[in-house]
Amino acid sequence: MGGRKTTAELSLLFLLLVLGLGLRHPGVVLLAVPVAVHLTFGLFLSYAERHPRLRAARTVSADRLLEGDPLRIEVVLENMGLALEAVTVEDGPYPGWEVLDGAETAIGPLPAGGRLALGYTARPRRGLYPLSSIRVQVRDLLGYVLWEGGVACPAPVAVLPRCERLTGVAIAPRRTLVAAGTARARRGGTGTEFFGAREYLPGDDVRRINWKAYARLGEVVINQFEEERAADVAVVLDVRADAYPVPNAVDLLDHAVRAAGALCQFFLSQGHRVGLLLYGRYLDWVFPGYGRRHGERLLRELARAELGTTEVFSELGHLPTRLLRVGSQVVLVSPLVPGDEDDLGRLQARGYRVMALVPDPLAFEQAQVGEGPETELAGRILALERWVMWQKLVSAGIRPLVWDVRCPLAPQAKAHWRRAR
Amino acid sequence: MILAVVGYLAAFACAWSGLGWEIWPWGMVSLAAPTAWLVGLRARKVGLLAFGLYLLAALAVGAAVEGELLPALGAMAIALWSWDLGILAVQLRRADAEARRRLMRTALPRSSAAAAAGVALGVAFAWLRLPIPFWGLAGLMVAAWVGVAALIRSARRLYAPSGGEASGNRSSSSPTR
Repeated sequence: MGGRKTTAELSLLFLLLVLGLGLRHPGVVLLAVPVAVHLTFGLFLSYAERHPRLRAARTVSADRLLEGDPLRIEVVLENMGLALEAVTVEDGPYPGWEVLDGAETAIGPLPAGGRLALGYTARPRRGLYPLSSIRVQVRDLLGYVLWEGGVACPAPVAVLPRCERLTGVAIAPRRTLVAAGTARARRGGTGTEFFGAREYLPGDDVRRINWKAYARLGEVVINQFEEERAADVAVVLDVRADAYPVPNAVDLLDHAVRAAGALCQFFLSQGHRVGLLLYGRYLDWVFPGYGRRHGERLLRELARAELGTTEVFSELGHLPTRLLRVGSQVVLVSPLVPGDEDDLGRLQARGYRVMALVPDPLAFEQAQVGEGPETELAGRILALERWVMWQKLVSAGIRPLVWDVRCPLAPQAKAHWRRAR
Repeated sequence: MILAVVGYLAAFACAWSGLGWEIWPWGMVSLAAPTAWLVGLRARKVGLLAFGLYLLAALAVGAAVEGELLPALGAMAIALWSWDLGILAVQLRRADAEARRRLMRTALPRSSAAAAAGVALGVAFAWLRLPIPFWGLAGLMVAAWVGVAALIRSARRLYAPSGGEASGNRSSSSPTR
């Protein structure tokens, strides 16, 4: 703005002079005098300003928080140089942040050694925010000269997805790990689910002898239980923009992210080795691991999930199976698009056990567009299309969990997996 | 903002009185000037404010051509004064009331002094009768152009952004696990 004001006055000055000379009218030339005096006076006073020497410090109430939690940010700008007449400090605005109180901008004079503070409370959106700098503008009072720049004051904040606590998710991958877990290993051993019976061998636990079978057959047989072991689980979050064909697609993605986070946390708590793949925008792969630290890594990865489009990852058929251990469990969180069911069927046929959690875009969109005869008809047609898709998935051995995002995931998931057993 | 509006309307009246136009059609056409100014202030568009200033300068030129030099000079000076306040109002749109009042109070005498000095110098020049040849005036104009351009260039160099010293601190919350 400073440069624009100078340019405007300078142009006016020379327009008047040229016009006066062109018309050979001294009165018009004299009109340039107030403009020249005004411009010279203003520039002379602004020239007294010096290059600002500023230092900033930012304090945040928490560097790790969950979606929906309030965050208090305070910024103090300190003037290490000479007095400044008008200083504007601006932090943000950050997209998707809801400011609850305070202001993200502070304007005022800044005397030598003085401080200008701003503070506000916001409800940030999911994401990783470096909060690396603030924007500062320094002007002279009449607005002739403007200094604009960023002053660094990093205070990174991670806003992680708020995940529900899931229960009762049962997986049965074809291959398991050596460590104990909760995945059914398809082999007899120690466990809780009955697996079969075999003849007694020396060294077997006598408590497992099936006395009824002994009475009937006259041979000592023992009960076998299905061994439960840890497994490799790859949670794949679909971030293809095409898979979210609804208004406010980012909100539906948020639901998908929360679901993926809940699944990751559940599988980790069951002792499984969990990897995470964000598929669609780029290939973002977190190698499988265990434990709480790994859980935090997965949540941070999920926090930065964004929708994107690339030709390479436009279809699920391009899922990089090299990253996934053969025979492992693949959990896909995606609204799915027509054609995906075939790709998932092929994946299942290659030996992976595929589980699909589908945040229902239809229910999500219906909640937004409201009710009406046209909406109802369109909804029925789309529901039929998707029903065909579900049938194809079921015939491929995949029972999708279609999640109505208007309701919590945990009860729907529990009921679905109870039926699936 | 109110001062900027009142000042501009005063400048407009000053220029219009010098022109002695009829209400129709030129009087109505000249209303474009305050309209541009008011819309610019309302929408906080510096471009529209500049357009309003240029239109008023055109009216002042008309008055000067009619021979009404004093109203023309007065209109020009008051328009420049309103221009300062208008720009300041746009700049301070997000400032709190206290800061805005304090900055306005400092800017007002400065702008008034610049406008008054401009009128005084203009009137003084009008009383002077100096025979300056045409090419002498053209040369003076070029010299003034070079001088002001040099002043602006050095000011820009002085204000070139170079970042700043900084220190950030983490929050006092528990570390990430």
